[in-house]
Amino acid sequence: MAILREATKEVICKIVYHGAGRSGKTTSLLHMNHRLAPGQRGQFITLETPTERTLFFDLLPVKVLAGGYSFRYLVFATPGQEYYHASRRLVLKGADAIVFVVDSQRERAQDNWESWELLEKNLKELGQRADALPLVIQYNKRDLPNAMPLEEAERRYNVRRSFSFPAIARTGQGVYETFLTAAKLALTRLSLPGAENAMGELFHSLVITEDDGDRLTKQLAKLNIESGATTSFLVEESSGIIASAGTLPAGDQEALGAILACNFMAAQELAGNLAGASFAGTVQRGRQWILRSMRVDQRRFVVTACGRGAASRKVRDAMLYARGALGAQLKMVDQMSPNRLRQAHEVFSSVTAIAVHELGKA
Amino acid sequence: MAIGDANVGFTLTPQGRMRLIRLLDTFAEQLPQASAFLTDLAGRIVEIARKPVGVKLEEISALAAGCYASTHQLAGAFQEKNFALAFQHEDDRQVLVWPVGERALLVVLLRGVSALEDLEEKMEGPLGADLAAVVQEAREPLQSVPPPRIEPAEVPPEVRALERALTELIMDLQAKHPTGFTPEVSSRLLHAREDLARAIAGGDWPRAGELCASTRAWLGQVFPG
Ligand SMILES: Nc1nc2c(ncn2[C@@H]2O[C@H](COP(=O)(O)OP(=O)(O)O)[C@@H](O)[C@H]2O)c(=O)[nH]1
Ligand SMILES: [Mg+2]
Repeated sequence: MAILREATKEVICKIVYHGAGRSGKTTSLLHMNHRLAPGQRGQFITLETPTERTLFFDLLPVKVLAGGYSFRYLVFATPGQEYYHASRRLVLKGADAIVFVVDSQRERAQDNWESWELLEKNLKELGQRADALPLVIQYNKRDLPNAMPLEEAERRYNVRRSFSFPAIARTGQGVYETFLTAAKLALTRLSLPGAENAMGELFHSLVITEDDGDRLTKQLAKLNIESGATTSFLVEESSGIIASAGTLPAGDQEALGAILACNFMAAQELAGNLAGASFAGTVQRGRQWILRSMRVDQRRFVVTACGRGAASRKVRDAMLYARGALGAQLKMVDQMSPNRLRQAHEVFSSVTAIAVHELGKA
Repeated sequence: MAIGDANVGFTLTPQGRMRLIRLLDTFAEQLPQASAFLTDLAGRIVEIARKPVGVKLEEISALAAGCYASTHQLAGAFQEKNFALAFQHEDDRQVLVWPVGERALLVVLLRGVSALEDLEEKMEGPLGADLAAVVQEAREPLQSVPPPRIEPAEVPPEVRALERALTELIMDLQAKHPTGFTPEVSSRLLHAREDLARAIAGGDWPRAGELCASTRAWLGQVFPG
């Protein structure tokens, strides 16, 4: 699901790299991080074990200015290992395009196939038709002598006749082209009238007008006053911060939003594992700060950051109250978004090519 | 424990393990309807006290590790060293995750309000210090240092420009003639790209230049004008 913010002319899209463990997803993101100029990328985050196995997700925020718009891509990579299967599904939530990374080595043929099946299964569990999502395939590790021939790879994995690219992520060939194509397809989908109809509820795009933004920010400012919080955020699970008020922590806001979102989703998933328990929220406690999160609706939650002095009950009550007001506001935004998106189609069709051209300059 | 020590981030001596079990049990014993377990930072369970019934413990610990890894990042954004983490349920059931000595996580499942403060007190007292000591004394497993993951080819600017122009041309053609990319054309394009990728990865710049030129020429024939 994409977010279009009218006030600041920002478009946020999510691209997810999926594929068998050790197929080269993290390496691909590392390469993009290396290749992009500092102004074109945000903080690269990789949550992995000391032996380089992705624990939860990798994230590289990519940004580009084009035609008066600011395009932000949240590029995620999923964990490949079966052990982290519950986390993998969370990362796929709300994706605007998928890059499927195939390990070309012949002995990985079965692993690739299983990973493909998992992708379809996970999307289905999230209520999303897999064939409605733009897909690009990266045949990785083409430098290795045991790489299967491209024809065979196509026959095995390119069931939907998607765009596909040979790549060598270790040295970087083909990686950026693959990303560019996925970035383009994600935007192109937004400019197709009716494409939104094929998207599951968790994948619907959001158009936030200046008025919406003001109202949400006001609610959050009120929450700060009533709870004694220094900062509060309204966060969307797949795309990060929708609105915020108060003193923001320094650093990359895109990365912060994505971390908040993934953190909350994992907490909720974990809670769901305890039979019969329904999730209320999280508390994170440090030496100076206490962060509290609480669900607002199916896709959004609210977070406050308070000093350790703030009374928990007061904060909780203020959050409960704000949750109702924010929820009502978001419901309106959800209802209006499809229409607004239709009106924005022209904008998208004219700026997509420029955005991709700008990205291509990296 | 069925899980071999090779799976976890550190190896305990038999005495260390006994101490760990006792400490975890003490934690659980002092909290209402609690169970406690220790995992490494990758979410592999090291030891459990008062194993709960009817929950998928491995799933919980994998998620707890992922969640904690992101919590740790959040703490950084707020200029904190670490955050302790609690998941709350409507029915006052709670899951608490606490970092132990930057190598392990203590996960406690329990019922009760304000448990985070309780646990905080314990972790800052002798019990927490003992737990940290057990983890501290554990040996690191033999770690192989992974080689650097990326070795970017230092592509000369003129080759990069040719490559970029070719990519743009292809994307342009794909937008203008979507039906022109028949299986035959796509397959040949795939091979052309592979040859180019290999030439660049191998640092063969003259060949990379030639390949860009020949692919352009071929595309010009397939899509005239
Ligand atoms: N030879 C070769 N090795 C690669 C390539 N891409 C990734 N690797 C290696 O494959 C291993 C796993 O890569 P990683 O990015 O961690 O895989 P992930 O599990 O999909 O994130 C690492 O050791 C990489 O250096 C490639 O194109 N060629
Ligand atoms: Mg990885």
